[in-house]
Amino acid sequence: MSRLVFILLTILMEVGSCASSTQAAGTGDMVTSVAVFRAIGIAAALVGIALLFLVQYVYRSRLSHGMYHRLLLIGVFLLPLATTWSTSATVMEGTKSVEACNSCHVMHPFVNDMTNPTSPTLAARHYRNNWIAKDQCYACHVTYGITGTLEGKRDGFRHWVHYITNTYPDPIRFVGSYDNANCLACHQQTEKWSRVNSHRALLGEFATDRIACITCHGPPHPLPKERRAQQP
Amino acid sequence: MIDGTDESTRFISRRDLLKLAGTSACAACLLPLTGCENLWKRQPAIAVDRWEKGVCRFCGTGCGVTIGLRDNKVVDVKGDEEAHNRGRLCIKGLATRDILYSPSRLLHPMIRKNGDLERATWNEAMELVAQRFKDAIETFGPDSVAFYGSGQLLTEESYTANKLFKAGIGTNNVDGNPRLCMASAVTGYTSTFGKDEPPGCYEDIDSADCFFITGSNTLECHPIIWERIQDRKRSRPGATIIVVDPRRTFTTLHADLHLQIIPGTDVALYNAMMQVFVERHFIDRDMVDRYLSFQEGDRPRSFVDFKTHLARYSPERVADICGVSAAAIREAAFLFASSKATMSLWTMGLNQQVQGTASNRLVCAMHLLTGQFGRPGATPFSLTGQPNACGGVRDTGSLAHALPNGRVVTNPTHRQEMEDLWNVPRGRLSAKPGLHAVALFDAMARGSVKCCLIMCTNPGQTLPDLNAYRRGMEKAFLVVVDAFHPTETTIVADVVLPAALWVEKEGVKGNGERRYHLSPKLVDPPSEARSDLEILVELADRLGQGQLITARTPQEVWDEWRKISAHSEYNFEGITYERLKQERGLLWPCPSETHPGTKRRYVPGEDPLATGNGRFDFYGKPDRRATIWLDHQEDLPDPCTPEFPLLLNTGRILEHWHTMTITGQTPTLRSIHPDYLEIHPYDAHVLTIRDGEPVIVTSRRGEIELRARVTEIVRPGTVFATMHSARHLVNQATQAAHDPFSKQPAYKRCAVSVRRKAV
Amino acid sequence: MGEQKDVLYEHQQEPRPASAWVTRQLTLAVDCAIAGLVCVLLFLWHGFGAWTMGLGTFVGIPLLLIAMALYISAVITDLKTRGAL
Repeated sequence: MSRLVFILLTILMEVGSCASSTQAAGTGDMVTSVAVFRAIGIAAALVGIALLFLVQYVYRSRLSHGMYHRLLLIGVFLLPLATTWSTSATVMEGTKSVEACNSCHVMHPFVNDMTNPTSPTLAARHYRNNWIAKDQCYACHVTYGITGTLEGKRDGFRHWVHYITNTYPDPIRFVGSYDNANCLACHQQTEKWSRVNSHRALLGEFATDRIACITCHGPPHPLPKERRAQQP
Repeated sequence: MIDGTDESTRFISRRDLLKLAGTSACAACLLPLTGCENLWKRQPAIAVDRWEKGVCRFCGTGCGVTIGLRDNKVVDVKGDEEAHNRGRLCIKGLATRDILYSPSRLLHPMIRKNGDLERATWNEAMELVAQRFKDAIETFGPDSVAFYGSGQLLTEESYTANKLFKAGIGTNNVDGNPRLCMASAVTGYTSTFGKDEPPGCYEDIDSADCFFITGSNTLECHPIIWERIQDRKRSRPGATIIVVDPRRTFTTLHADLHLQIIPGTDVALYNAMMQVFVERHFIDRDMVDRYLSFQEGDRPRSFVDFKTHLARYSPERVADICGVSAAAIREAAFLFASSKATMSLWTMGLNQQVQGTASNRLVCAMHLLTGQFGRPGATPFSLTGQPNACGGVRDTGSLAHALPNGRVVTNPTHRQEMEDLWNVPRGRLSAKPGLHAVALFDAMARGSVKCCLIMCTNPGQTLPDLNAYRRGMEKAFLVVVDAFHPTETTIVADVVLPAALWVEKEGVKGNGERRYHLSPKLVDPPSEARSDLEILVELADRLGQGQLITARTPQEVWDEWRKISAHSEYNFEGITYERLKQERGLLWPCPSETHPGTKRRYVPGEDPLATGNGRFDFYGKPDRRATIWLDHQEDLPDPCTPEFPLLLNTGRILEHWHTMTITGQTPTLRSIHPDYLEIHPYDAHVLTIRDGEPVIVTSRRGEIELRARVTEIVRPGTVFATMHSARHLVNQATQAAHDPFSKQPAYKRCAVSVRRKAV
Repeated sequence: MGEQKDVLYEHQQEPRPASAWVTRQLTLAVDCAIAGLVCVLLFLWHGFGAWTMGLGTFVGIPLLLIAMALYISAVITDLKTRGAL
């Protein structure tokens, strides 16, 4: 029995260090929280699979009733709990990254434009001037506060459903009204913003999103025809 | 399942599972009814049934819009991503969603009875109008009636009015508000190229490396064009922006070089810049040898004469006249000439001057001399103030001196061509130029013009030296067709007729870059309002001119008009309604239905009318060479004296348009007040005026009360007020002095005194 | 919980085999957990991608949740059967 536990612990440590080192290789020496969550998840999942397989299908008859139940507690409850937590954390944190958005080919024209140092779009200017330091897609597409996070996950889920069922429109378009609060959170306090008469006169319209900041100051991303032109 | 207890201890029963699934399915179906659609996707702030493409109602940028309708009402407006504005709209454009439902819409005809305007039927009103016009024509001749139109009328409407008055009634008294805003650009282009309208297009902005913005507060007055300029600067930070403006406007804050000149000294400045071109060998000799001619007044001149002329304008001498340093002038000239592609943009600052024509053609000359012409990004480009001044008024020749497609009434050949095209007897068109805007209202005051039909404009607020010309409006029989009441003009009218507005009628507009685009009819006009075209057609019938005005719907008029254009260098026969319904407008010349339109004129290969293999073909001129004019800086009227020591400049702000009859009523913009006088702290100190105090501005013609805004935006010695507000009519102070060629008044400069209002 | 069970066994002095229903639930839980962990592992190992993320997040996690629920349900049922609850 102690041999089994020893083997499992060794696997856990090996996999943990391996996963975190592959992550670190991509992002220089810095280990991000996503990498840690991911490593924990991978380790827990590997250990869990091995444990459950051995317990249920290999050593079942040789284990005492008490030991079987103790190992099931670990394999069916504790390790899945750890995996669920670390996967959720990976998804919640990881989907904020530009790389996560760019993992879908539909987003390539948008990310390519954002990282293009000569693009005049709002997204590109915010990116290259470091006005938003990280998670640039997420920062502007998810409203501040808890409802924003929920809306963000809702949109992500919907996008995923459309993507895998191949029911998304081409070209893709932003659905509904853009939330001005995203812009105003930073800009509203600036002198440059408040010296424009219409900004102050239209506060009510901005609050209800009946007038969008990007109507005058956009477009935030290349337009459908410009995206078409960029594609090879 | 093995024994009876299992059923109750099951995690979830089958029945519960079915119930849960059923409830979830129902909830999903009912989601849209509960208002919780947000659970699936983000919802628009304004619910819309359908979207239609259209064109913005306001300025000459001519932005494409998509109009959201719900229950047959306009509820939302967005920028059209497919149009040249790339989905952008300014705050005025956004406000168009509210303009149709303004509380000041005029809903029924009114006739003045016993001094008051009273409600009348269309029949009553039109009968009275026709009778008065007929009486005047019979008793005093055709020149006793006039039409005063607008750069906001649709092309079909301006064309029909022009035809009715010039070919039907037989008077050239057809003018309009473009005289107050575009006339100097027209004379500038025609004297240089022989033909009106800009040679370049908006797309040139995307390729220009130097922007020479003179007499234009582009950021506030053409915000969408400004954003495009900014886009160029953002993608190419090395691109330079030079702004020439007497005020430190928002536009100048983004400039690499700001020349804050004294109002009215443009001619000296441009001459000095050209002197630097000569001095530093920036002149394109090939242009001079093959494509340019020189002229001073009626006399042809040589390039040598031109250089001698310029010698009097060294930057050092001009620095004192303009109030900027010689170094700044030299730098501006260097940036202009050395860039790979320079684009000039200008508007009212150049046009509304006594030397407006000279300023316009000198800017064109700067481009021609340095070869900054006819390449992507290298072009002179005048910005337009109204949505259809170019297409509707300039192209149709709805001005007192003009005939369609660049023809003039004084040219017998031009008259004959138009008589043939309009199918009227030879000699029908009058050879006498009609009365231009200021002269027209002067003639009303003197009594020689008895009746005037005013459409879609508000001269009661926009004419210069208002107190003098308002008398004329009160004296004449004035028929005013407008969508709004009261305005400063409808209140003095004898008959007021309610007009359809924007998407309540269909027609073609021509924006600042020669782009014709279709503004569709999407909703019915309110109550009894009618389109201006319907009103003109009915007037023609009642005046017995029905056989002349055979085209009676917008499309019929357009088809007649585009076929007439084929007999000129403006040829846009290929721009049909069918194409316009599909595309976001087309740039003329466009001679056939398969032609894609023309971005750059006078360039063989691009412009279908340009011939030969050379770099350019200036086919508007008999010798096929563009003309460089030798113009001198003149002494300007209404000079400063100790009694009137300050120069008043007038202009616009971002949030309002013209006389605010439309923007002053929209819920989003009406809270922004334009009633202030900008005054420099230095002048304010001398006059002991504090910020926010009421002040009286007095000129040689009248006085107005405004609130002082002490600011360094203006130069010391100058003050600034907007032309928007009807509460304080700044044009009571401005002067009627005008450009000798274009007859455009000098709104940008008059001498005033300012004093604190006695409490 | 394991401790509780041990106490239970000591009290009864004789371990009784779990009912067939509990066994079935536990077997199902183990299978669900293995399947869920495999799905999640694929996603975590491969990184973000439309299919792997869908598999991991929308198949793997629910399977793990089902496994855990089944496990808890089995334990509660078992304890109830033994009269401990």
